[in-house]
Amino acid sequence: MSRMYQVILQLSELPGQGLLEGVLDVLAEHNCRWYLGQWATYRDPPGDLLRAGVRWRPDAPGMEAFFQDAPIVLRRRWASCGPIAAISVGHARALERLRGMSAPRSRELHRVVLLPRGRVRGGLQWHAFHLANHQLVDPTRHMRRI
Amino acid sequence: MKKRRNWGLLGLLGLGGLLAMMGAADSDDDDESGTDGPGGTAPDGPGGTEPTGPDEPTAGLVWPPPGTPTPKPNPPTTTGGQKPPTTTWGGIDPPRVPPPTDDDDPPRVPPPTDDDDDPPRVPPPSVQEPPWTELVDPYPRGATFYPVVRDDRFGGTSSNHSIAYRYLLSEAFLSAREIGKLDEDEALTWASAVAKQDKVRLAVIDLVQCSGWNDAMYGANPVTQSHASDHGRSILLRPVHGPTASLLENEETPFRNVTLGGNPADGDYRGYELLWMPGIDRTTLWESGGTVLSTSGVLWPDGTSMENPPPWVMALGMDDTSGALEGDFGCLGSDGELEVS
Repeated sequence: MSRMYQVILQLSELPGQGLLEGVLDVLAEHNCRWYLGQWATYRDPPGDLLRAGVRWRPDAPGMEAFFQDAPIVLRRRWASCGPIAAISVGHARALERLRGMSAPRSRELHRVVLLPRGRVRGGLQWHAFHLANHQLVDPTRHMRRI
Repeated sequence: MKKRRNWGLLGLLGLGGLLAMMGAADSDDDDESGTDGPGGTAPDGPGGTEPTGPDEPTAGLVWPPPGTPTPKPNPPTTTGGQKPPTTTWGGIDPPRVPPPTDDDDPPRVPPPTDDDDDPPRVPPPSVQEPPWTELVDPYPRGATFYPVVRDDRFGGTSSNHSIAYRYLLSEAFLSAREIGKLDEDEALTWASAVAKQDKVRLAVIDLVQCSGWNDAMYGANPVTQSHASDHGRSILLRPVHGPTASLLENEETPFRNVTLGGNPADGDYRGYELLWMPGIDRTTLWESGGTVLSTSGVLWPDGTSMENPPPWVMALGMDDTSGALEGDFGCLGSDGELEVS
């Protein structure tokens, strides 16, 4: 396997919606810069994960969450909803910046948002969406589930 | 010279409801925020504004600090509520197919007759649905027209004049009541906290300015203190427009009278904007902790988006005295985008 760097964030309690959204926002920005870097070197990685054959594997209820960036997800072709939304958002931000939009504005227009989808062991189970301006997009909607 | 424009297209999706919200604006406090700029008031004054500076990130249920005066969002007399999604059959039971029988006879087809000359079909009379009386509200609420008045502005936290603030108070209050099941006092407190978020108010301005109908009617080059949406235009909140409300009430075609420079094309018209306030998904607003304004799935019964007025208003088209009604309006890729051809 090629090089991989892990950032481990250990928390003493279940993270809230805001913290998880913040982590995924950082990941989306990282993905955005990766796409821009790829395009700067005349490479064109897929932005449409569905067409790229990526499958959605919902997180099992648990006390851990693992997020991967775009290169890893595109290589292994599966991920949970969080990394998938972060790639969708990052790709959209990169396209906006290519069109001349400022970085802060692109971050306002494209965000990862979490909405509750049921409860697990007393805690909320979240699902990640791509909020594109005022459109709430579920990038996993048509994905094959594993 | 007037030019009649019809909508060439667009991505008008969506649907759902809240149309029966009537109320009166009687708020009395006017706590101006020191960070929000003034809105468009005088004919040559700056337009609707909202600061774009840093904002404290807020997620989850937010509460105002102790001692914060509770604003009065003018809760509607009826909570309206989102209409259930339109079903494929429009609420009508699907046709029943008779069970197969052992009878091998071929299906009977009625014999042709000589009197096939059916009378010509007459188009049904125009029906205002929702009716005009339910569409216009002197308080800015979702899925209604709001008539701008003097001293209104987009930004700030004035409960008398801020369009975005009052819109959020109303929508967040109803979200808290209908979805969150909070009692009235709790819902007011929650709505107040939501409406005080600068970024969410900025999202309201984008929501209004990204409506293709609003942009086509009123979009102009931004001025110093106005917030330009993605298409680069602002709604300036100036009295340079035609009598849009009375035209729509009489089912007559409204017209654009503002030039891109923000001046009246015909100086005889000095009315303020009649803004379409898009409908949003209150469930998402509640579930996101008051941070997400989404129009996804908020649709009129014909499947068009509530980012634009109802189909009968859109069908009236739009005339033009300004020469600026050409091209695409609304924000690229949004459900409210319009192409004027």
